[in-house]
Amino acid sequence: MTTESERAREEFFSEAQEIVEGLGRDLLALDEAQKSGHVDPDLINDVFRAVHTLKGLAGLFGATRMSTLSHELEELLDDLRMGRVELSPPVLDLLFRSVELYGRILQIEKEGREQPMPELDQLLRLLHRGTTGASGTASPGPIIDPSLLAVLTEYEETRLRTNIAQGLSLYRLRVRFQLATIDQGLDELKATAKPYGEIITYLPTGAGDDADSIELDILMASRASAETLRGALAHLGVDVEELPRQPAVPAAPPPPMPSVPARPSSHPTPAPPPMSPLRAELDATGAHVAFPRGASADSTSASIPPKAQDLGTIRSVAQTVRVDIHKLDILMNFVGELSIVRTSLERLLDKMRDAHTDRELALNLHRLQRDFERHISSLRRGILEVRMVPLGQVFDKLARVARQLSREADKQVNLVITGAETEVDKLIVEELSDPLMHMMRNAIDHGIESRTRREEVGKPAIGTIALNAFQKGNHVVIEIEDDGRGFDTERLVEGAIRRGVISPDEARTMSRREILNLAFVPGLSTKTDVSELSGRGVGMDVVKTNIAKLGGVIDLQSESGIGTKVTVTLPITLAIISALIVKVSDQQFAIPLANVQEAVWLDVDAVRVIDGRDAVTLRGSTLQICYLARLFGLSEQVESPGVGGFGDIDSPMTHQPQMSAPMRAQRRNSGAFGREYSAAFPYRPAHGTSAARGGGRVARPRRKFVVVTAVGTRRLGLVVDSLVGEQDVVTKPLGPSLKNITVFAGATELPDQRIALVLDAPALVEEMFANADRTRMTHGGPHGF
Amino acid sequence: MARILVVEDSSAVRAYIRAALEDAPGLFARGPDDAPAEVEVVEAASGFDALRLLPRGHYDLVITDINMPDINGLELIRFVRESERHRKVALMIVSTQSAEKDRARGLALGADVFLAKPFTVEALRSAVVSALSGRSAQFAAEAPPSEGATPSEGSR
Repeated sequence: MTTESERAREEFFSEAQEIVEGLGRDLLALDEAQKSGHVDPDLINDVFRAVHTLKGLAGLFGATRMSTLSHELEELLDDLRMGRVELSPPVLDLLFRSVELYGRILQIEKEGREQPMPELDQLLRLLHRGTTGASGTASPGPIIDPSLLAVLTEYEETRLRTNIAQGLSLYRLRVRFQLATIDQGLDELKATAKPYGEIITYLPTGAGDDADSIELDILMASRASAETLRGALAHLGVDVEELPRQPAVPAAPPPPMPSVPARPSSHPTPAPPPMSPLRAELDATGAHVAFPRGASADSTSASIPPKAQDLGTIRSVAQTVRVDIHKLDILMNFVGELSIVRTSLERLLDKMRDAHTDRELALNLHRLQRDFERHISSLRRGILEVRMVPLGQVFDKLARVARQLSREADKQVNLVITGAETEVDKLIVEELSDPLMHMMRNAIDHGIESRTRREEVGKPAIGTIALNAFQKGNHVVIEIEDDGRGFDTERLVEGAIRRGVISPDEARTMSRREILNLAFVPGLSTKTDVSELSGRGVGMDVVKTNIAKLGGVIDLQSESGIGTKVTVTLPITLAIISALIVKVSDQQFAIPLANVQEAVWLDVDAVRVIDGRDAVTLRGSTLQICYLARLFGLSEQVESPGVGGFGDIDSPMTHQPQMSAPMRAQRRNSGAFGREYSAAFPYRPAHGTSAARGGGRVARPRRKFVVVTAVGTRRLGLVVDSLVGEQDVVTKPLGPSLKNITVFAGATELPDQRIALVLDAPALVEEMFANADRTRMTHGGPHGF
Repeated sequence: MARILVVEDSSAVRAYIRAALEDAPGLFARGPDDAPAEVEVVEAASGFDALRLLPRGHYDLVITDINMPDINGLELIRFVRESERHRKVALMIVSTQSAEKDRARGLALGADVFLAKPFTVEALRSAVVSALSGRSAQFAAEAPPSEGATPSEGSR
């Protein structure tokens, strides 16, 4: 038992995870249902079945804690579905707590850690108390045909009895499905029948024994008349028959299994227990429900030999597979490699065309190359699609958190979710959960006012938090919007001045937007008392950093007394990006195309220094620019060194001492207003640059380009020597020694086998603007960026 | 060579059963010639999946859970037992359903073995062997030799 059982164990974790997530969703629905006063028994049964499955899994895979928790929960849920315990808010609380615990237990099991979980013991005690003292089983109720009873589980029997006791009529819906399309057919039938009552069970009749279709008897309880049901279900080919209720003990029912061959007494397995308990019930007085048997006897003689040729074709029936995301990463890497091959091919073709050697061959090759290109992009799209998961996964978690927090804070909150089906790369979704959770906490804790306060200012007593997601081009936008008190900008400014982040003078000139951005400065909080809910030490600055790590930006809008809206804009995927390859000095860099608006010629004479920043005017608006060569400490190119000049450079990494110095700013202390940054940023003008900025003429044979990058609403022009072209790149992380460099997202291999660093445009824009602010604040001088 | 249909809505449990049965060399060998591929496990994720697979599968054993959505294991057992075509199939219940009623109903409907979850790999293997041999012994006893059975035991 090696690989197979390891696979089984992996399967266990991913399935358990999935079930726990589903459980969370069901509980939220149950919570809603409980509030509205109408609880769908199917829903409780779903929750029961989820826990039941977890219990079975935990037992098989030796997850003791999960097993114990499931066992206690299962008893409680069994009592719930059998109607022995009523679904109340305290019971729901227990269930919600259990879901959280499941998550933690899974984590611990997966990591193979041994650690005590006092919270589990506590919950177990509570659960135990909750379940003991439950009164006996449901009343025996009316009498049911034992041949029917024989195939019902205890739960189904309870539902049947409950429905009869409530005076509902019982119907038998007989329908035939093609096996190939049974799922769709059944879903349609369920959806149509659901509003009319409860489906108790589905019984295959075995009639008309052909291999491609199957006849089902569906047992349904309903208040509707037979006519109504017939009308509703006629178009699905359903035959509706009301099951008669007989007032007294009927004639003996048909034998339970008329067509089963007699069992030889020598049978080695335990003898089946007699049907006596059921018969005893039958003999009691009361209404009797007869269930006409299907015409299954017809089938006994029609034994068709199995089709031998089909044997090999039926292997597995599951329509979905679970795939480790890292396997997809590997595939994506191959696509990246293929893209490199493709581009190399393209180069070769260009050379061939220039050489005018064999036109026909070149043309054929060109066609082939186009096909190749098309298929690679389909392949890439396909893999990306596989990686996509709906944001609903995180939103469900957020909804649970919101419910819990609003209870703890005693604030009533109505959470409105839209766009849960919006899809994002799986890795992004995983990383999103913490930042979003924190924003949700902020919204409830700091945003939404207390009930009394809300009533005082004339707002509805129940607060509203909107959680919206939608796709916008290559990005996904997530908004968390509350109708709470909004940010207290005065206190933000006060705090910032007190901590020396800004000067009182600057405070006067700051725009509202700039002031709100202060919320992202480490340690600046509008509330002096750290609330238990929002936790200690994790602020919006961390949220911002985490979002930035995903290549996203975060934006804050807030109106005092009206509410706050946090907008997070994220790339749809991290796996592969289209990038603009540029050349600076003798180095190539990749700028994610998602951040590139356009590229224009740089008119050196038009560069002005405004507020200590270099800027040009682009179509009437001012654009701050940044000379990448200076930023990275590379010599600015005066003369093209030619291809041969690259020979001594294996990769830009060899230049690390030169270029890492300015970039050494640690993420930890390089926040938007981090002063430490200035000390760690030895501005090193490369030769001949001061003259250029002053507008003086220096021999400069090549015109430069400005690549206009946009991140959120900010724009920055990056001055580069030349544009190489567009390229799909697979970003690979920088090694551990370089991971603190903030303005590079990673490195990538280019078609010419050279390495290019991938610019982290959001971080770069951030640094530049922060740096400009710093320059303005501390020196006010014209030097710097 | 034994063909086994595993009907279970939990894919991890299916994987567990598959692993336990496929990684048991010699477990299903009935003779020295019946060597390498001794067992073929087919998975059904629901009762309906099972109904879809049953007619063409020519299975020796169906292992089923009881508590499944829509068609429960009991209904499946009755269906198999009532159908002449699947008469010889051995039936085994694996379920956590500790409720005595469900267990009793399963056996009353004609299941051969009930195995309570959680079970060990060894318990599963011996239950499978006993279900298979019990069933085949039973039919070897009643079936005429014309069915192509080997003289010793088993009709497959």
